[in-house]
Amino acid sequence: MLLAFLAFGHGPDDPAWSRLSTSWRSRLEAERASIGGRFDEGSAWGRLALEHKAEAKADPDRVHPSWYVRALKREVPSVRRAVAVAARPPLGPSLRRALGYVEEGPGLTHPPQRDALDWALALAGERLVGGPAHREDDPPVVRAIAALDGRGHFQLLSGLGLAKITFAGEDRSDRIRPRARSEILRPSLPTARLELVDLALEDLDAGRREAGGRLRPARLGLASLGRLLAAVDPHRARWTLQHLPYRIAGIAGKSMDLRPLPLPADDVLAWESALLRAAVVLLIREGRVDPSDLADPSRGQGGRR
Amino acid sequence: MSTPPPSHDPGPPSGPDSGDGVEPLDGLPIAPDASPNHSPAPDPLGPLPRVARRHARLEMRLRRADEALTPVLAQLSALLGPGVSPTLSRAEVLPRASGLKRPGAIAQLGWPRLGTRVGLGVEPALAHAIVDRLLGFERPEPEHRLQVSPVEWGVLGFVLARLLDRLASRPGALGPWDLYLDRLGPEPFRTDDLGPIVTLCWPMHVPPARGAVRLWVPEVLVALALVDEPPSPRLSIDPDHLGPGGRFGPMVASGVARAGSISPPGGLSGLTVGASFPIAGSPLKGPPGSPEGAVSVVLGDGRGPRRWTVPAELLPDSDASRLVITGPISRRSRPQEATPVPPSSEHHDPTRDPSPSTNPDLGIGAVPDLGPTDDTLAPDDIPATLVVELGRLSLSLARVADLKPGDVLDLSRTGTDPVELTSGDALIARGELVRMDHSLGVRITRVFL
Repeated sequence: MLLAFLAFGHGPDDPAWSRLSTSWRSRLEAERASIGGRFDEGSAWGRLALEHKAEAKADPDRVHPSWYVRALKREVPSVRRAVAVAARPPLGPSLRRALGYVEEGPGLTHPPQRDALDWALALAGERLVGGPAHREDDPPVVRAIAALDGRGHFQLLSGLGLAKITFAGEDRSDRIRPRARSEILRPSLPTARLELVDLALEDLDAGRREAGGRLRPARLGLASLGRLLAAVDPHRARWTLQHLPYRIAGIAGKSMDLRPLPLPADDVLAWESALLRAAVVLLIREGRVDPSDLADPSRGQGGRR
Repeated sequence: MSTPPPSHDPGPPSGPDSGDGVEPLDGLPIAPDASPNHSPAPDPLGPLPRVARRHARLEMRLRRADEALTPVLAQLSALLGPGVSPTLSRAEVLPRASGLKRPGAIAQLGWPRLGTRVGLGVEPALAHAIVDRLLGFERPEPEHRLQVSPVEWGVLGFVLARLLDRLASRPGALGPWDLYLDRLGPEPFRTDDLGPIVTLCWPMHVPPARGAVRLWVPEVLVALALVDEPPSPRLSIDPDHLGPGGRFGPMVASGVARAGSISPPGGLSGLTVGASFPIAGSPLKGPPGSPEGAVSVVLGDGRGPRRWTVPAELLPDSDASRLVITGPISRRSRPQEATPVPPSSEHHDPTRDPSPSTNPDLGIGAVPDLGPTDDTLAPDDIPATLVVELGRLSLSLARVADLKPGDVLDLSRTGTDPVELTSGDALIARGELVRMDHSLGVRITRVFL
């Protein structure tokens, strides 16, 4: 809104400014101080136009096909089939596989009416959100998910889980490779605090219960991901989750409520952020992540499968 | 995108103006048990649906509030720039919280002076149209329904704050409209601590999108608003004295395109959903979706003497969305239009009622003697000639002053939009154009009585 006041009005000197509630005005004043004088009328308009275009609809390249599959399951077969056939790659082939149209062939019995097909294609993603691939104020968790592909997501979540296991002192694996990775992680881990170690041990116990007694680092990493996204703007958090398979995003979403935690939310978020940093350092040192992709997730193949 | 509300809503059974029996309309007590003979008399309005008196009065108050909305529309029009003239159609009053869960941009407006708040919902298509225009974005039509995004909440917040600023100094039934924007986003408006809610719903057209704007108001505010306010000073503007781009340039005059009238043979009781009537005095011909023929455009204030009439003709193949001016603008003190119907007491015809019992000051128990031969009011006696309104438009006063034959005006409708049937500017019913013999008629789709 601050940018809108700069682009279309006279900033806080605009007469409309006084029609905002006091609390809203004070929040905007704080944001105004943070952006300083970086925007004039033209640049504020340009930034808004750019973000508006990106948010206008979901980018299928940045949405895991399972989200479309879920949306289409409520539709009638004719709509499902039309979208699966007409959607451009890579979404179309993924939908055809997921919806079981591969065996029958992709064809339709007769050509679809163009307008109806456009509506079906647009509304298939009705509940999905769009957004720019890169925002300057994105937190590291959003940048990391947006920069990596499906394989990278798994590696990041595994590294995050391994960081928590190491932090809790449970990295007593007999295998050489996990031990070596823990050694790489250790210098990057946050300073141990008794309450946080207890919380890490609780998380490990919960992870074991959910995984039938086994400790799966990636599953632990999902809980951390959920907590980190709880502090992100909800729209941006949903945009981030759309990069993951729908079922996996659902598991992460269960951890987005910070209220049941025994510690202040800010402390937990700072700790989880430090674990994420350690995991990213691990992946960079292993050559699995290009740091420049994290700096600008819109580069290269970041986020694409 | 939206489910149409029911054809009529009788309102909640409780309230200051509603009782167990028939609710009296303004100045026209019609309770069956009010007969002087105390004999069971047939309900004079037959099966017609009822509306609570306070809601009927609110509708009338809203028509007067159109004046307050004019500068708001003008401000929005100025923000959107040339070539886009947003128009508001007549508001519907729904005696309940309606459409709270519809998607869109939902604003909460605080009203500290009155210690309450109201909600405002803008449907996604309208929100997109406003922001797309401001940010120079072209959106394919199928994507008009997609959800509203954070950038749009921010831009709409600015637009809404501007409109509130424009409204803030204007007088209203509750004093100045000194509202503050508390929040704007996708979350539904919370009404749990506000008591009963009344919904005011305006169909709106912001080219190229159509949708609805809803205002959720605590019913206690409605009751306060119905306390009579002093008449506000009215604009008195003569189009002959206006120049293009003059000081009235940004001011807007609303108008309506009329295509004759209908007269249900059974009076108002014949006004039922599905019934079809020929349009009297209308040479409308052609397909119902894209009719052709002469219409008259009435511009200016809905009440009072200042009205300007312009003869026009619908352009062929325009889906009834464009018309061309065919004659000079003329002024008349009061347009010839349908005989009004209740609930407005100001429309009562004293010449048909020699009895003193029709004095509007009489109490609820009084009986109107509206018929010369019968004790009761028969449905056939209720005059029911309704004006057929094709659509509405909004022009700057400078443009009104400059109108000349050959000018083309955009009408706020498409061929599939309903036509409105009005009496004395009160919306009575909606319908659709249908082919009847060699010309066009109207089939009733909704009745609002």
